[in-house]
Amino acid sequence: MSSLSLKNIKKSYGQHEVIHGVDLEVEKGEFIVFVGPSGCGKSTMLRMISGLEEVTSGQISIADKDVTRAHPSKREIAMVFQSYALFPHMSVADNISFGLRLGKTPKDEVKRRVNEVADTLQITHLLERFPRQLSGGQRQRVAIGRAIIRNPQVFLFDEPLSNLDAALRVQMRLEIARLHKRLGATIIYVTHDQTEAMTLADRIVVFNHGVIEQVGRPIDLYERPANKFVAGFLGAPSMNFIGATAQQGAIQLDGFNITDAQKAHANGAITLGIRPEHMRISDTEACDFSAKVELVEELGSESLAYLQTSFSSDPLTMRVDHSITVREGDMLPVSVNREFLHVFEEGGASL
Amino acid sequence: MNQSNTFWRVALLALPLSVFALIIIWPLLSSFYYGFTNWNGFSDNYDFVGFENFGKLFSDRLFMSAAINTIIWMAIAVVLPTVLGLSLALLIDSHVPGGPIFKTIFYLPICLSAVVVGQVWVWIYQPDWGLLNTIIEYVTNDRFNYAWLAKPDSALYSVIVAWSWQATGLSMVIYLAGLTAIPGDLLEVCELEGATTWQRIRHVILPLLTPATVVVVALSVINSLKGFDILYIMTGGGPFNSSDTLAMHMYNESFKKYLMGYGSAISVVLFLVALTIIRLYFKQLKKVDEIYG
Repeated sequence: MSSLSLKNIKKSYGQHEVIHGVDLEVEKGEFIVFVGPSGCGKSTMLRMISGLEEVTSGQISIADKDVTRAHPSKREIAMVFQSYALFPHMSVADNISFGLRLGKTPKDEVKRRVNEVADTLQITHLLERFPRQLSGGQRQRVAIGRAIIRNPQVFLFDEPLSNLDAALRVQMRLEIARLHKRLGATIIYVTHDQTEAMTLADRIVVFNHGVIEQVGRPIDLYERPANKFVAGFLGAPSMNFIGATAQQGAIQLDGFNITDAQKAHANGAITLGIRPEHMRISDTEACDFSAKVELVEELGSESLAYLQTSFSSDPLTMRVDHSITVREGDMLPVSVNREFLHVFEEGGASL
Repeated sequence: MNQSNTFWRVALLALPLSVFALIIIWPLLSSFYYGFTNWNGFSDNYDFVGFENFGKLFSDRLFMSAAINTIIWMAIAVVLPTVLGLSLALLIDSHVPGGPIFKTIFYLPICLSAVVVGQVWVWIYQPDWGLLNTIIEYVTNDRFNYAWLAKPDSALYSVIVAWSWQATGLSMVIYLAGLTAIPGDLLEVCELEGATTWQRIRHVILPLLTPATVVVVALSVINSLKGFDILYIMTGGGPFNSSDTLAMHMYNESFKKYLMGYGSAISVVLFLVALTIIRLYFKQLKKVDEIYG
């Protein structure tokens, strides 16, 4: 059974179309992450699923029921906001039980369910406190609690970790992953943080300019990006792109011995894509090219070396193991792992 | 450099401070002083009478009725402009057609002086051709010439309505600012949770407007204590002192009966009441800040 189905969803503000026809099927229990740069339409899409934003055309179904024009409260969804959206004048217990109390649920049942949820999220000791007395992480847990208590078909998370500091973000990310496993719930999660996307998602949906660029398992998107945009968006540091020309599959590049990297369909102007981890320092005789180290960033477990080459105007980023010392100004012989070379045609599609 | 900075700081502060001292602090302290004398307002000869003026307050029938009228005024001032201002703000905030125009119209009375407002309402209440009686005649289709401002039963309330008409604009603007400050996502939570309009107002908007309500109520109460100018224009405290307030009574005793010492004692009482209310206001404001700040 499909938990969520989007059919040709379009959204316009006046004459300006911002979502240009989105199709997506989400299975029950799937963790789907919408990623993309700011203004790509991912949050608008989430708000349309929630009903807070109207759809211009297309159809949204939740649990096989058409909810395109249904009121947000009738869609069997629950949403967690980036700002937590907790009521400052209500205790944690009252915040969590807000919806139940509006629906005049008997007091005993409200109490029982609040305790259940608080137990799941380990916030029982916070129930009597007010949001101002909680840390960012605790507030986010309360916001999640308010979502869980609704027992929805689909959970919607709108950049829920963006307001937390880096350490807490990692911790909450793990908790959300655990929660998903425990509840087996369908989750649509919006983020611009690709680490969150890669670590949490069963499938990632990459948005750009109001269209879906690619949908797939995180590792598939990483290894086999459909186009230059997806390739550049996923992975940190991002993929190196080098402009080149190809003739009958053979790639021509000044000072870069890559003639054996045959791409049968490549012809004319192309872009070569190399991830930073697919380059390494090699023997002078066996190297593909030599490059001058412009800058080194020490990250502890590894270093990032920015390389000046004769064939690329932008410096290339290369991961270097922390055991190897690289200095600025060094000339390095570099070889590229041919197996993981990406080639994109002029329009950006992967070849 | 530092020395010349200090000089300029003191110099620039000195002017406003001396003006403030001259027109606020000095008269305030003087009225405290005169409250303990039997000064008539112009003579050089007066005696120190201790607490006599203050003792007299308790036996002064007119002071008591003025105090009761002031309490009535305060009570209505807490309710009327607050409820009306809030209702108008909610209505305008709900994007009714013509909202911005109505916002300007409802705010306009604030720009008028109390004297002008008083005179406009004197015309509205005019028994023979005033707007109010004309409307009542039109609706009931019967002759109606009740003299609103000339009857002891209605004079005070009629003035309070006129005063509230002016105060409502200010409450509305404060509430509108409060409504703008409510985070949109809290209202979206209401929508997601299926709250009705009334539930949204009752459980979310009203509590979140508490900071605005504290300001509106405090301003209404403090302004009602000062209620003098509009009263002076509309009834002068009459008929038969039925619309006298403490401020009006103080004026009558000081400047009509030339009992400046006794009038000062009344002003001291008024000052202490205002001080108590302002203290309560700041206490409440602190509490509100802790929750919503």
